This record gives sequence, C-alpha cells and structure tokens, in this order.
Amino acid sequence: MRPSFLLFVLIGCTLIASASFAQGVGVAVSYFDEGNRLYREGDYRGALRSYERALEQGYASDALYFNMGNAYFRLDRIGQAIRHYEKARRMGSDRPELTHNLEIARELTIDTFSRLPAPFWTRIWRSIVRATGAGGLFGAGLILYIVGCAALAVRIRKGPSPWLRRITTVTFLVGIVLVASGLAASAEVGSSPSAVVLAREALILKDPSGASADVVVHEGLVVDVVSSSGQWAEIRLPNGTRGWMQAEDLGEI
Amino acid sequence: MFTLRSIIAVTIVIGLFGVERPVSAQQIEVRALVDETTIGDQEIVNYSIQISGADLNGVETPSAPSAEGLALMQRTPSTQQSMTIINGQLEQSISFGWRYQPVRRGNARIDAATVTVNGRTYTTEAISINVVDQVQRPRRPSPSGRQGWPFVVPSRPHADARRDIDSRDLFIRAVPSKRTARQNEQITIEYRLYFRDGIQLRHSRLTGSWDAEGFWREEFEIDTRPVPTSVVENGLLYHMIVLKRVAVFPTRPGTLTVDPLEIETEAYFPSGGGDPFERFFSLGNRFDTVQLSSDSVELIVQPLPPGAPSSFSGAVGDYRMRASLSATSVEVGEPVEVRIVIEGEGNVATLEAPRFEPAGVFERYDPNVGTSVRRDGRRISGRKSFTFVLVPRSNGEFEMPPVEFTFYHPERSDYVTITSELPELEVTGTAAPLAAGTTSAGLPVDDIAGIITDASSWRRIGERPLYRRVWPYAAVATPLLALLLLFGYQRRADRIATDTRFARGRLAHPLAKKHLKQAEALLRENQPRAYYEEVERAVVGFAGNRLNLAELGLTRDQLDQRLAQVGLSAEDRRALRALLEECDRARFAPILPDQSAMESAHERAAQIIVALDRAAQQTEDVSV
Repeated sequence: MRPSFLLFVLIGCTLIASASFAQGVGVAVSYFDEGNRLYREGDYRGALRSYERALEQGYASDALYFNMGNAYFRLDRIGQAIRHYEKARRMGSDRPELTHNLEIARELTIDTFSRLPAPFWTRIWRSIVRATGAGGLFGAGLILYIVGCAALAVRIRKGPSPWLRRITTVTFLVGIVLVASGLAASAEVGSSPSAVVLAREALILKDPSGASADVVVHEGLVVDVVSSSGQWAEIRLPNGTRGWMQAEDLGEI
Repeated sequence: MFTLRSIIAVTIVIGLFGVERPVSAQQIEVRALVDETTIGDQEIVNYSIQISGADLNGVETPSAPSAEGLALMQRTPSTQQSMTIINGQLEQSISFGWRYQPVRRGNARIDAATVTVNGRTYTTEAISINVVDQVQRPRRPSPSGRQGWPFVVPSRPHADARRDIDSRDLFIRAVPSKRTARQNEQITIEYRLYFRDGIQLRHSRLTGSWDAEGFWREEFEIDTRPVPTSVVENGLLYHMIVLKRVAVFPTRPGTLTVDPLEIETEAYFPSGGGDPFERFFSLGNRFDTVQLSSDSVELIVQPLPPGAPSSFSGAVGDYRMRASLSATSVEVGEPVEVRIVIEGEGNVATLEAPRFEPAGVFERYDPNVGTSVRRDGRRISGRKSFTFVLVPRSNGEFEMPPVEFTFYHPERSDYVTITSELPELEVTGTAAPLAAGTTSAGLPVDDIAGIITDASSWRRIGERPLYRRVWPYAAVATPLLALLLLFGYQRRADRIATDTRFARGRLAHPLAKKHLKQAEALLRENQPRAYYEEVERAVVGFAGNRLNLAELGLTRDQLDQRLAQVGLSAEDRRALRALLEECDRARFAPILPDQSAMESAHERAAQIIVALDRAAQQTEDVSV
C-alpha cells in the first residue's frame, strides 16, 4: 500500500468526520436558537424542551447548559438550575455571568455545610485542571513529549551536545509529567462524579437498609458521589460526612 | 306531705344567682341522698329516695334499704310529692324518707335501694356514713326541728346557731377533660360551683388573676344566666353551675400547672327553724362574704412523637382542608388568588399556613389570613383561611403544586397528612421586561444574568473520557518506538562503518544473490561467458565477504586452504574447485558449454554458497 493512498484515506476520513460533526452541531444550534427565542418570550418550559432537543443531537456547549440553568431557575427548580450551571462550568466556562448566576442560585438553597479545608496542592491542582481541562494538560504534555523525542532523535543521529541534552531532558520530563497529569485528571472526573440534590429534601442514611436518618439535606446541595448500589448512592457531603441516599433524588453533573 | 313551706324552700333555692329552676327532663331519675354523711352518735341521719320525671301513678312504694351500723327508726316512709310548672312544662317528683339512728361509732352504710317505676326496677347507690363522737360535732338543730327533711330547707332555730361554712357545703371543683396530653393538644377544664340545697349566693365575682402559664388559652362562651343542675355527690344533694370553661393548649412538654379559680361571693346559709316568710324577707341580714377557690390543676404534657413529616408545623387536633384557585386562566401580570381553608377541632388561632410553593415564575405575596373560632361547644373548633396572591411573570401552562398539611391526631396517636389538589393554571400574554439595577460588571442585582446566545464551543457529549481511549496511549508510545528503531538503525550503521568484517558479512548474502540473479538472466539470454563470470563472482565474492578475505589476491590453492581452515568439507572444496575450473573453461575454451551444464553450474554455485555460509557460521559460533 502506497503512502499516498494512506494519506488520501486519512484526509477522506477527516473530511467525512468534520462534515458529520458540522451537520450535527448545525441541528443542535438551530434548537439552541429556538430555545433562546422561547426564553425571551417567557416560555421557559418551551425553551427547556428546545434545549433538550439540542442535547439529543449529541452535542453541547457551555452556553447551552448555562441557558438551561436559567430556564430551570425561572421555573423555581433550583436544584436543576445549579446542576446545569455546574455542567457549564465543567465544560470549562469561566464566564462572569456563570459565576454570578451560581451565586444567586446558591443563595436560594437551604443547606450551609462547612467545608473541610483542602490541602493547598489540591486547590492548585483543581484550579489548573479547571483552567486547562484534562485534554489541555494532556495535549500540552504530548507536544513537549514529542519535542523531547525529536531532540533525542537528533542527538542519536548527530551525536551528543550539551544544549541538546538539556532540551531533551527538560521537554521530555515535563512532557511526561503533563501527559500523566492529563490522564489522571480525566480519571478523577470520571471516577468521582459530583451530583446535585434535586428533591426538596432528602434523608441521608447511615446505610441503605435505612436504619436511621442522620441528616436531612435540601435541594441544590452539591455532593460527591462515592459509589452506588442499585437505587442507592453513597455520597460525601461538603463537610466530609458520608452517607446513603436515594439515587433518584440526585442529578449527576 | 306537700306543704307550702317546701314549695317556698324550693323557690328560694331556685333564686340562686337570680336563675330559674331547671326544667326537668322527661326521663325517669331515681337517686338516694342523706342530709349529712358525717353525724354524731347522738344524731339521726335522714335518708330519702327521690323519683322525678315519671308518671307518679306508676311508682311503687319502696322498702327501706338495709343498713350497717345504723338502725331504721320507722318502717313506713314519709312521702312528699311536688308539682311545678315552669315555662309551661309540668315537673313532678316524689320522695320517700326514712330516719336511721347510729348504733355504734365508726363507718356505717346504707345499702342500695330498689324502686319499681312503671314496672321497671331502678337501683340507687349505697351511701357511706361516718359516725363520730357527738362532742366532735357542732350543735345541730334538734331532730324535731328538721322533721320532714329534705322537704324543708335546712334550718336553724336561732341565729347564733348558724353553722360556719363547710367545704362540703360550698366549693368549686376544676374538672379537666384529661390529665395527660400531648404538646398543643386541646384540654378543656370546667370550673363547677357546687352548693348544698338551701344555700343562696349573690354578688359573686372573680378574684385573683387566673392564669395558665405554659398554655395557649381559649375561653368558651357560657350562659350568663346559668341554670343549676341537681347532682348527688357522695349521697348529698348539690346544685351545680358552671362558672368557667376553658380550653388550654400546652405549648411545651413537662408537668404544667393551671392556677386555681378564685371567686368571692355572699352566701346565705338558711336556719332550720322560724317562719319561712320571715327568712325570705330578712335575707339581707344573713348573707356572709365567703372566698372560694378551686384546686390547681396539674397536667402532664408529653412531647409529640418523632417522625413528623416535613410538612408538619405543630398543628394538633382533627382538621380538614380544601384549596381553590380564583381563576384557571389569567394574563401575565394579572393576580390570581389561591385560597386554602383549614377547619376542624384544635388550636385554630395558631395554625400556620401550609407549605405552598408555586413555580418561580410566580411572584408570591404573604397570605391574607382569616380566623374564625367557635367557642360555643364543648371543644374549641373553627376555621382558618389563607389567601395567597400570585402574579405570573411568564406565560405558559403551569401545574400548581398540591397543598399539603400535616397535623397530629391525638386519638389516632399518629401524624395525618392531607393534601388538596389545585387545577392547572393557564397564563397568556407576553412578559414585560423586568427592571433591575446592574452591578459594575453589568450583571443584574438580585437576579440572574440573561441567556447567552453565543453558539460556539460545541462538543460531542457522552464520549469516553481521555484515560479510557486508545489514541492517547498510542500517541505516547509511537515516538518512543520510533526512537528505539532509530537507535537500532544508528547502531547498525555505526558498526557497518567501523567493523569491516561485520560490514562484509552483512554484504555477502545480498551480493551473492545479486550475482546469481544476474547469472540467471544471462542464462536466459544464452550468454555463457558472461554467465560463468557472474557465477564465479558470486561464489568467490561470497567466500571473500563472508570470511573477510582478499579473495582477488588468492590463488586457488590458497583459497582452498583458507576454506579448509574454516571447516568446509573436502567434498565441498572439490566441488568449488571443479566449478571454478568449469568457469575458467567456459570463459576461455572455444567450445561453449550447453544449456544443461550452465543450469547445473548455477545450482552447484548456490549449494556451495550455502555450505560456505554454514561452515562460516559454525566457525563463528565456536569462536564465540
């Protein structure tokens, strides 16, 4: 098989994928625009239906989630509003409107749990991941890694030199660290999802058998989902307390 | 004996508090009573059986009941009939009286008596009598002066013989509906004034400050002109009126106390003798001011049981609820009322509005509350209405949330939740933009920022996370693999450049193959000389390269000797020599070899190359 044929196949596949993506996004955007129109007219339920249809196309954007959060807020469904604002934030949005709306929505929630102080490196790590995303970390690391490999190849071909050795060492090591960080961030998001309490109030039990109710939480509280078992989900409250609650009362972010 | 005196006495008793004599019920009432339950051993106890409300023609004369510690003084009872018309209704009664004399001190008893009225038998209560030493008893009127009791008012022959007020003659009793209750449960307390037959009261008023700390209180409406009720308490005849009826709702658990009720009144204790007309017209001189007080009431209040639903806000009792919308279709900005009415028994005044949380598109105002409490029964009940005003700020069809109200039901000992559904509300029209201030960043104050119309940054959703895909790992491994290949290639190139033996050894096979291939082509072109030149070049060149020899400078014998040193067998060496000589002949002889000889030469050359390579390999293995 000639290299030119391979290149042709590669370019063809890329063009087909791009066309498919553009077509899907185009339909999603039309529903998005329709939802925005209904929202402006005050038909928040209709707006939500259009936004949901946009999501059904398999595509999303931070603006879509943000607007869904607004529609839910107008319908007084604070839990769903916070959930969609958080989804928008998870997509990497740092819009000031998002921060503002999240604050307004949180003011309407009931629960005010104290938060466990996180170690400073955790805060730094989370701010980096929030800023770059797992993909960003991985991409930057991959580029540095390839540069390091290229420098090493030059060194193999041309022989050792001090500046080449330095470039190779720095880019290769930093690249490997960033690649590993990107994969770790991706695994962290996938393995420990967060969720929002959607029920007006829910009991946190010590175990799924429902022996005794310890804490009552209310709509809009963001919790970490540790594990799940059937209709029950083990959650961790912001203050570190663990317990079980009905999975149907939660909305995963 | 039906005397004018008895009628007057009864009339005087009825005059208490200026009230009328009660209208008797038409039901038959049979009761036994005595004039005193504690008597001296020299005194006589008067016992009577009263029958009222019956057709007196059907009353059979009863026998005197047996007694213990008392002796019956006469077998034939004295009989008294009375007939009164009050408010147009006729009341008849008949009494049979006996006298008993104590036979010893201590506890005595008059057993129950049986009376047959219209063929039906009625049984009275037994009455206990305490017989004490006569010196412990105050002076009483002589038995003769009280003959015919109770058909005459208890009287005294002289003014100085008037008795002191006895707590058994005139008292207030507090009667709670229950002693143990739950928090906020309704308890009614009735304050009843008891007074013996013949006692008259006037100018009564409440004194002190009645209080019930720890309770919410609701007073019942009672008749301002109460009708005394005749009751028998421990064998003694009393008249009773209700002074006060109050419902208390404990606001906290524990043992709580309700204060006693205190009244001041002027009481008249009639004397046993004298002319009744004289007594009647000289009442003003015989009234004494007395202070009366009930006991305080102690109530044990238990907290409400755990497990109350979230919609419970403290209501205890028995309630019903209904909810309604003032309209089912309105325009944006047009107010609509949600009216919730709760009614039933309990502390209606303190009922809180049930939870009602419509969708956020509605502006909800604090409800208007209307309360109506009924105090005319024996339990506090009433109705409370909550009217919420909603103003829709958006159009659409909205499902109104059901109204939920929970109360604790004391009889069922459980929480009861009642719900009331509301119809769907249709809102038409277009919402006007909200006017709101903005922050320095241009964001609205106390409201969310508007929607974003930017349609960029779309991503496919539901994809596997990065760490669960193959391409990231392939992207990392590929440069590493390429580096390894490059490294191997570079090492090989360096060795070929520096190691002649290695380089010639690596070239031996390809060169031999190349020469044999060219020879094969020459064979097909039938060029014998050129063909044999290539065959010789292939075999000798392979030997030189594989064994790193300067093959061109070697004679045939020297070559044979070197091949013997590397372990090539004699047979193979002979075959090589024969092939090389055949090559020489073909190149220089005038007669050219035929096609089959040429093909054979090609095959032998290949076999010799293989044998040479095997021998060289064995030599290398031995040296290693």
